[in-house]
Amino acid sequence: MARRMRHTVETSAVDLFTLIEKKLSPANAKRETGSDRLLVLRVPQDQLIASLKLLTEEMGLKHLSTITGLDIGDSIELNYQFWHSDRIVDIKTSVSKTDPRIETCTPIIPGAVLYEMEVHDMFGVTFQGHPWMDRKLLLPDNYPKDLPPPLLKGTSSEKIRKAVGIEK
Amino acid sequence: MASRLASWSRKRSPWVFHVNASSCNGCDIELVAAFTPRYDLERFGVVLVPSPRHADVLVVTGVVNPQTKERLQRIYEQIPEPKHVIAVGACALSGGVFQGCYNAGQGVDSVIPVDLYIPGCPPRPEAIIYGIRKLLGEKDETHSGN
Repeated sequence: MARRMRHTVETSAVDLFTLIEKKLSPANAKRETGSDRLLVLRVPQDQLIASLKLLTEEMGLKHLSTITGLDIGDSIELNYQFWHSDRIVDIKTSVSKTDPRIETCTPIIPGAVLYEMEVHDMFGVTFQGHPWMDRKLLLPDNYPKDLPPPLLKGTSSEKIRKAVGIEK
Repeated sequence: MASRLASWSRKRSPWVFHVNASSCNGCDIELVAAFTPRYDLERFGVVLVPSPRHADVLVVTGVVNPQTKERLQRIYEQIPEPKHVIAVGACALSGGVFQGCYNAGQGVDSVIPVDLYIPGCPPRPEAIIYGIRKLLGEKDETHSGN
């Protein structure tokens, strides 16, 4: 009877996650909650690009699954999710709402160009160095300029619907 | 004589143009599955055409957001008369689960006139077949709607 083939090549999840933590510790990465399949690391904003570079070039985590945003009051939390065989590594960083700018990661991960455009449309975060920050990816062309981006907590759906022409 | 022939062929073999107006693709998958041999919509002569200018019936799925709204209007205007419109799925009827969202329309009938509504999230292929046959005025003897 043939044994089922294992689809991961590392010895165990713990080894990979401790390696990543050790690698990223000069960048003040702090581990938050997680299980043996999920690692969540929080890094300061200025250390983000260096940490991503370490992950993609030296740790072999080349698949950036998505970049999501979350409005947590006075800052916007960006979550860079990497998918590595059957495990997920989250790199979280915060951007202040008063000055929502951060450096782009497209020189390291070219595929992140659309994810950053989506976060720019939905949260208003500007990625410096991104080639297409002047274009909208998801929002309609007649999106009102005086209204905040849609996924921030204080934004009113009714105002957007009236301005865009869905409701009278 | 020619118009009788034309209306007979429109009823016996309606050509369908499918528009995904920002749908999640669930309804599209069920619609396309209805054309597979298992459910077989093609036995009624229904064919998916690549251009609205060749179509008799327009099938619309999805909540109509501001970007797809103008494209949908343009496509509807390109379909020659007589034409019918079918709205498939809860989103196309009223906005579905996305009602009230910042970009969710209020259903297809706020954009173009609709002749037939097929509810469901997504509707089964059998429901889509039943709906299209109802539009054509076919009478079904059995209750199962095939």
